[in-house]
Amino acid sequence: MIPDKSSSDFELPPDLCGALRGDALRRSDRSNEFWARQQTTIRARLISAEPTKQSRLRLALVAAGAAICVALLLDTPSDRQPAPRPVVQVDPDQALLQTIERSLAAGTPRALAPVALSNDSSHDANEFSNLNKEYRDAN
Amino acid sequence: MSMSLPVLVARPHEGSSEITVFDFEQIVRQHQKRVFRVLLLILKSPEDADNLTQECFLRAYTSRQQFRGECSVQTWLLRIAVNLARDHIRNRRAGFWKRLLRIEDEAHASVSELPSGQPSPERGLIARQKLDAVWRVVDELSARQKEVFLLRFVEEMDLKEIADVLNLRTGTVKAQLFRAVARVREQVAR
Repeated sequence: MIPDKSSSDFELPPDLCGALRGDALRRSDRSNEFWARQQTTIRARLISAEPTKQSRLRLALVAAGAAICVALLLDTPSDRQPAPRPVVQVDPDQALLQTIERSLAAGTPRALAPVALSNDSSHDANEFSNLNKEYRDAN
Repeated sequence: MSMSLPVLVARPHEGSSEITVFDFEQIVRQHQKRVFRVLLLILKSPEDADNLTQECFLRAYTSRQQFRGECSVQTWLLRIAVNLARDHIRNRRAGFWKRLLRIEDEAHASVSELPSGQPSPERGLIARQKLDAVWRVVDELSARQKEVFLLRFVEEMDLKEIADVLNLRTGTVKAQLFRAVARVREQVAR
């Protein structure tokens, strides 16, 4: 906070003011060519910064295209019902045939091994009874 | 029909969108020296002052529709210029020492440009040295004090105008000016 001051507290001696201003003016003084060149440069920059009618039209077209793209993107996915999958009809005979082929190709599963053994033992028993029959016939 | 900015200031409801590049050139011619001078005194670099003067008018032109005529065109332009200078000072770090050397060179070169009407070379030299000492003090002021000081004593603006340009309250401008003047007086009294 600045206490109340007289106006002279905010001023410099007039001769110093004049000297400072004069010096500043001299330092910033430039030739007419400098100012003309600066004006030309500024004009060129202003013209290039100003959008022409063509560029405005181009900008409008680009904006419209972008809006359409965005609308399409927003419209596409989620709220639509998913398309139903086509139902594949399976022929039961064909399926059975395929199952059999797979089983044959895989060989006898281990779980069925006792069945195989019992098949073998019944085969042996038949052979034994045949031998007995031959022996009785011979006697 | 196109109109110039001062006309639009007088009749702000007629639509500032009508102003053209050619209208704006009148504003450029009218204010370019002052804008350049303020930027040169703040930045101490003729190249930077030139570039930012161009930038200032470009910004003013592209944002001309925001100008409502609440202040003068000069105040509006200087506000843009001071803001550009502040941004520039904030951003320039790399070339600091190079610029400093150039300022020193210019300060020495300006010694030969004595004000006319001096009674003798000796007195002129003393005055020149005194003036250079004052400029050095001004350079050492804070950025805000320096802006206030330059607008007051070089551009001869009143406190209200300075407050408008720097976007400060008049009381703040007064306080900054008081401190700046005290520093300069201290130097002059030595």
